[in-house]
Amino acid sequence: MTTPNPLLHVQDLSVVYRAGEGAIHAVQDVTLSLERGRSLGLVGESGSGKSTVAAAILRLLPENARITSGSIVFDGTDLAELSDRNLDRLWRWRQLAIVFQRSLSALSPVHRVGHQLDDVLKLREPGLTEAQRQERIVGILRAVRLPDRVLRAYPFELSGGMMQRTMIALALLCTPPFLILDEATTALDVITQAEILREMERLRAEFELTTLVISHDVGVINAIADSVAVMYAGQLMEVAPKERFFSAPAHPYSKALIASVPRLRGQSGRLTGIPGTLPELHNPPPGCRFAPRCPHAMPRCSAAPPPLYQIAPRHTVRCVLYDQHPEQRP
Amino acid sequence: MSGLPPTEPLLQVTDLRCLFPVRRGLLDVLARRRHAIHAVDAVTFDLQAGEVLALVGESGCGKSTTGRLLVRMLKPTSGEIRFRGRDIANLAGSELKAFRREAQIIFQNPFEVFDPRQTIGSSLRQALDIHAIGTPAQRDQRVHEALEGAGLSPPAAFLARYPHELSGGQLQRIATVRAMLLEPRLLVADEPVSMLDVSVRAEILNHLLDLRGRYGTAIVFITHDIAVARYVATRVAVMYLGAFMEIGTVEEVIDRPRHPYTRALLTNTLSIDEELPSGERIEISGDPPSPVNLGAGCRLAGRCPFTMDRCRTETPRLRPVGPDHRVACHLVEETNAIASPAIPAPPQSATPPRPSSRV
Repeated sequence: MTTPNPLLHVQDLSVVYRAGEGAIHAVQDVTLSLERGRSLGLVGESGSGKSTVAAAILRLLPENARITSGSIVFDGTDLAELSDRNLDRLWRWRQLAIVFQRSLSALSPVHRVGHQLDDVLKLREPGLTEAQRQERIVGILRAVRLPDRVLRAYPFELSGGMMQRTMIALALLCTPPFLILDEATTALDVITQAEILREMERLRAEFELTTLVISHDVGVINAIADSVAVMYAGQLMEVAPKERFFSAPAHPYSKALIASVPRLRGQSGRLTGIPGTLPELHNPPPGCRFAPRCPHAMPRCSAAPPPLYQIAPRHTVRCVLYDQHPEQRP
Repeated sequence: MSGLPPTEPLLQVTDLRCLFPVRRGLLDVLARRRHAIHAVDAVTFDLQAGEVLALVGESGCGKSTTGRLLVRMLKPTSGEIRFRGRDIANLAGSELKAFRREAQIIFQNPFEVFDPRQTIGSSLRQALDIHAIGTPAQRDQRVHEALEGAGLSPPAAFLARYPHELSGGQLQRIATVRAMLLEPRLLVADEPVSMLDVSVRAEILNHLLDLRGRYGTAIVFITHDIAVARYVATRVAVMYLGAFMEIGTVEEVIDRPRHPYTRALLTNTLSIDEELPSGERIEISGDPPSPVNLGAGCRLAGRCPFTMDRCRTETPRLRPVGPDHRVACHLVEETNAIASPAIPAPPQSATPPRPSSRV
């Protein structure tokens, strides 16, 4: 289960949101490991808890959310244990950064982009001189292939693609080793999205980045991840190397997810959706949360959440169908 | 479709244009300048009964405006929309109302199209009330049956509920039921699955295809997702900056794309299919130019990797390049002109040539 010297290791993470009288169990016992220089794709539909995992890693959860259990070990330090002040001063943005989907709302509409980048850098690295900051900003803009005129532009003057590049530049300002892309290309048009993802591949190499890519779109995951983790209703269902995931998905949910994606080439048979709806996370099913929609569900699925079974190297599945798997190792 | 003799198309769109005026500054007023966004420009196509035409393109390409013109939510600036032989571009009053019974539209976000204070039952009934179809009891019956037919059963469980009590997928299904209650001949579906999760999309798409099979409704399916277009459509039109770049059968346009823009769209779409051989991808750089006051020339000229001098001065027209396949590109036209005398028709064409006469 554990990989050698992971940069990030999330163990048994659970997150609960307070909502009125009750609680929403958004993330339950999620364990993820990410080696240096690798890219992990975290895929799931709405309500799967994938963005909550990202927010928990950066400790950017809203006020009504709480990490109820688990550890988030980054480069040897448990981020879940750090004080807010410590995390903010030493880790967030310097070591771990994130790019969100709605980037336009992240910048002030009344200040020029260059000014805002400079402000942020001043705050994050107070030791730099103005000349050093300028040099860093210009360097990062070139790295994300933005023309210098962006510095003098206001956010609304930028196209969607340029805006997203600006957000990537903002995240990379302090050259962090770890970057989360949370639906970072979702709102973009096809051609721009492909272009930005190709840029990301280049930046990954150039900045020796380790990345966690969060998306609802398996196409995005296929384009940029080395391995895939699938979440459903707050549970981690399967982790596998990318090629294996797309050629031999193991979990019934992963299989159903892939079968519902229309193809661009080859045979196009009738698509099959997944009947039913996401369970209520106020009061989630006690066992496997996919059981109510699963074609293979049996009584024991609803008894307790199944453990993660290892069915191949680096391939784990949370499904009792693999209980007797011959390749299973303890 | 089958071997039926060609009939009059359900829809004949000719030279359709829709311009939106841009607010003028003082200097513009003084100089008597007018600016306009060319949202839809010289769009021409036919739609047969029961056909599914996908309008594909990126945001701002005019695909939604085209959809709204077809059901006359918008009035075209010029051009003709012949619906069953009759121009509906300038209909008004009771004639427009009668037309709307035959042409319906569904949208991306179903939560925005239902009155939040109205139950699903009364929202559905309203469609029949407006057009005074049957007796009140018959209307209730019809609503009931339609819900059941869409797999929303028991219907009673949905009739008394409010939109916020339903999931996006359920509500979109109900929006489709409402649009189809009047058994329209034309349905415009504007990104109907874009905000839904993939596992729910398939059900809505299959539901639409089933309805089309049942009522023979023609569908104009607007989408930015070319893989979805491939799944639902019989024909595809690719739009860029208000104009059609390419139109043809799904097999022609998606498997044998000719326009550089279509090829760029296809080769940049992320999928889980096997990777394309490297070098096949067409890269189009930059962003689309402003659609305000477009001049002559191909709209893609500034971004296309194959731009020639002619592309900047002369607007290419849609020209046939194969059976039911038309492309607006000077390059394709010139390659065809050069290629045609020497090389016979490409042998990979899956469609057998139409027999000219039978003895």
